[in-house]
Amino acid sequence: MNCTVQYLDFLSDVNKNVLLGTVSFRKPLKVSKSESKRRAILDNAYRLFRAQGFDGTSMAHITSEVGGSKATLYSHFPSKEELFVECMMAALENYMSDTLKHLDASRADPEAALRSFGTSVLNFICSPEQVEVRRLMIAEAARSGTGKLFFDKIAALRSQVSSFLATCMASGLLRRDDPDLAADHLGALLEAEILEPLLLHVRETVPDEEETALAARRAVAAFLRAYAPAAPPIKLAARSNASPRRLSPHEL
Amino acid sequence: MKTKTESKRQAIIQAAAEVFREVGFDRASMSDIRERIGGSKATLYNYFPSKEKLFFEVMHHAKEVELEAITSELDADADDVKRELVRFGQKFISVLYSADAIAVRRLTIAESRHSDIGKLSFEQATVPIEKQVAEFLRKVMKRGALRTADPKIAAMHLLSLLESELLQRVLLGVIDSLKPEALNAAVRRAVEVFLFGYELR
Repeated sequence: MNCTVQYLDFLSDVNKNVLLGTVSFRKPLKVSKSESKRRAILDNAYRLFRAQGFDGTSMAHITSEVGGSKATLYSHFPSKEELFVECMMAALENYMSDTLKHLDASRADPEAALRSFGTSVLNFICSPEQVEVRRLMIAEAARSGTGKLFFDKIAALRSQVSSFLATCMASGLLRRDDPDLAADHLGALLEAEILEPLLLHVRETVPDEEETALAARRAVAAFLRAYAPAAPPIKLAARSNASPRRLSPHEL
Repeated sequence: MKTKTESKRQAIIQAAAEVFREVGFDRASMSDIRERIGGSKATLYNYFPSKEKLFFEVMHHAKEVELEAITSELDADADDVKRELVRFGQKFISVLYSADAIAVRRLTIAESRHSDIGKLSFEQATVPIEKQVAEFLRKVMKRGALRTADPKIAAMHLLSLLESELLQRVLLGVIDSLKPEALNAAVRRAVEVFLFGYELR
């Protein structure tokens, strides 16, 4: 996750560029040589992978676009798979770390906090560029063996949502349950109305703020009802075989 | 160019279905399929311009029919709504998460930018299934077993929740074979959360 840390401070640029439909990895402030090299690599790799796909892009081609040696490239990214995943996820990681800062459990109104978080996440993931990234991610995951790398990054982002939900559970705002499961449920509710037509290229128009806000409002309302303190905890499956509360890798 | 016939088309679909089942999508080739039916490669491509299109036709259509049949069994008069939804969800998810269906889905998403495959899938599978589920929920709401809400939105929430623990892990290939017990437990959790969200309180 060092990528996230590195890019924390150009987030406002990311936001702006998302609205314009372009995300750049460039940072206006002064950066070290190695860091600017890394960004140049990410920038070029991102462009090439999107234009030509994973198989159609070689490390040699990326090197020739960036300049410098292949050894330098490999010193930054040990494999094409890792470079692919890093450059595809960078914008999402940057955006999420900014958005997650506003998800503060100490806020007076956690419903409002969840709503604005949900709207913000939907605005971002529904941008044409992010829809394309997700499509590419799914398309390449099985073939190039990058699925696990993508998933680890997504799981790391999700765990930040989980810890917010865990705090809400601890303070009695939500009933106690597995916070990771709750985060999966929240994510599914947020995406429920909006994502599939974009992903399947059925819909070309980008949802506007009003639409994403409405979808987020409905999702958060259903989520808060479902996880309201009054509701009983989710019963485990047949107690006899004591199934865990959510899917774990060894279970699958 | 010779005129296309339905019987030839069906013969191709039949042969393709066999080849895809035997060797899977990645290893199947248009040449394998052509060998099985005879004739020229040009003829084959005249009917189906790509392996993807053919695969979609062969595999998607069967799943679509099956999923719609499962959805149409939803009984709005069932006394136990939860039991009805769990029964539906478990059948639905077991078909949707079969290895074939996942391969089709991944391909559909991947190819949707370059072809109308995504549009076909959305219009022929997603929309009718959502409609059926919404109709079921509308009736259940009407008889007072769930709180009144927009049934269309509720249907989308339900369908999305059913996949909440599975979709990303499976599409990213983190897990490729799912034990039925694990699937069933995930469905049960999703239905419970849905009902907490939509029950009368």
